[in-house]
Amino acid sequence: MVLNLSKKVFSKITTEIERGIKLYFRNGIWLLSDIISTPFWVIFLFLTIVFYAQYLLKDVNALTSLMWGIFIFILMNSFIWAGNSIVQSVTNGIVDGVILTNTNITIHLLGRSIMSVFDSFISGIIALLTASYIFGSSLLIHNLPLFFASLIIALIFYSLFASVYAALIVSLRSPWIVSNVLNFILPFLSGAIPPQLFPKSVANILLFSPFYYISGQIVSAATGIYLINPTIMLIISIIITVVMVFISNFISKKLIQSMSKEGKASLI
Amino acid sequence: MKKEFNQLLAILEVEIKNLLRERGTVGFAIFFPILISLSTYGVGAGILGKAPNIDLWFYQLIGFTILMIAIFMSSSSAWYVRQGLLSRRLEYLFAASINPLIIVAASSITSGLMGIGIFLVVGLIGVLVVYGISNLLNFFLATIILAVSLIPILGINLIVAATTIIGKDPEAISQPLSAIVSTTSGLAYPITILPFILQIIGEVMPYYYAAEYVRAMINGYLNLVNLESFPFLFIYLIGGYFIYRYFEYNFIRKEGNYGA
Repeated sequence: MVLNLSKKVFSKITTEIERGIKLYFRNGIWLLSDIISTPFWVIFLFLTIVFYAQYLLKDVNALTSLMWGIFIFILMNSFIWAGNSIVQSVTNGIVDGVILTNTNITIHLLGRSIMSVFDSFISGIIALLTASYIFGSSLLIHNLPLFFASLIIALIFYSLFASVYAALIVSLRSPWIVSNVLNFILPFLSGAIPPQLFPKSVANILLFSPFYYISGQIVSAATGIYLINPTIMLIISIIITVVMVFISNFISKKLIQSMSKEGKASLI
Repeated sequence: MKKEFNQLLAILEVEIKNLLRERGTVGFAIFFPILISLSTYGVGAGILGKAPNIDLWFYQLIGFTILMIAIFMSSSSAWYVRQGLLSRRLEYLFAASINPLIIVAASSITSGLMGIGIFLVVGLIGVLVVYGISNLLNFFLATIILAVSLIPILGINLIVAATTIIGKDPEAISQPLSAIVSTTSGLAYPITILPFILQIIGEVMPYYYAAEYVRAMINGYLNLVNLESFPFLFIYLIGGYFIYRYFEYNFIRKEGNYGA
């Protein structure tokens, strides 16, 4: 029976992943749009952030940290919009199907998360190359194993976060507003804006943000600049991700229960 | 002429009512430039260890407001065509005895009015914070300058609308334009810190002039010499109109492809 259940879940997961891959490559215009837009956005973000301190444009260390900051910004942004995609699932009636087949919302969003992974990597690589070419940021990765480990942890964490976020915004009339605002709050909470540029007392505030241990770890592993011991940071990031598994599962179940009880997917 | 005017008013009424239903969008468009300019100001203060010059905040506030207007206008043009094709509204409009220019004008006037409204609210807050009431007259004159500067931008919106006919996905079409405009138009920083080629791109687009004229007018140093490039920007409006008509005729009317 347990084997059957695992088979069912595995089948749902692979179906969602397949759906995500097909959807991503079906929308070729989005790929083209990203390829054209990303270099411009990178230049815009760099220059907007250093507008008040243009001397930083000559500081390779600051520019390199900023480059990785933009990389994680792209990653987080992509998953926020994956969470936001629940609205389309609701308006297109897909969520009704999800409820009927007793599928977890987290599993349903996996398809969209796969699109986010592709999107993040293609845009992320373009962003790194643009920053390196235009601003002279260094592409060398300080600790490669830790970098990949933290990247995998971040992908798992943000896939789960997307489902929690989706559950929280599903009943809102204009969820995209929340998504846009979150896009501007998260860089401050995650270390996307390099903490070493700020006074230590300000930078240390980040240690209270769970997002810093997930996203900031990628930047730290790439640049070699740490606010705390890397091993402690890695352990905390794993604990936060495990906690997120439980939160995601709990919220997803509650959402399905509430939708089934009320007989409607959302206010839309 | 009276018939055309009534048609324009009728479509305008529908478009404005549509817009008023989108209160979230309007609120966000007002809130966003303030949020982002305060965020970058906060980052600047954190990095410098002291509060930066407030004039720099105002520089970015005006820039981000114009950026918001540009994004809103290009995105709404793209969505207008897309939704019109999906809902078959465009089919009814094209079938009616109405000049397409009236439809385009009504839609453009609506997004233009929305842009001016956003600028009035956000700009007024900025002017009052930075200059007090002393520059208010300049600000209202700057609003008129902005309204005129938006006219050539309508041409670019027509090109966006035309490309949506083929490209289908409105966001994917308007996104690259927003990225190019944001980066090259001197909205969040002076274009002099950009690589040379990007400065050229910025200088041939109308957004750069809109931001420059508005800032100069508020500070009271706009003169006619600054405006010498302005008439050339109307090439965008004329070009945009012909490009839109070409796409509309060849890809919608001729093929009868009003949907999908």
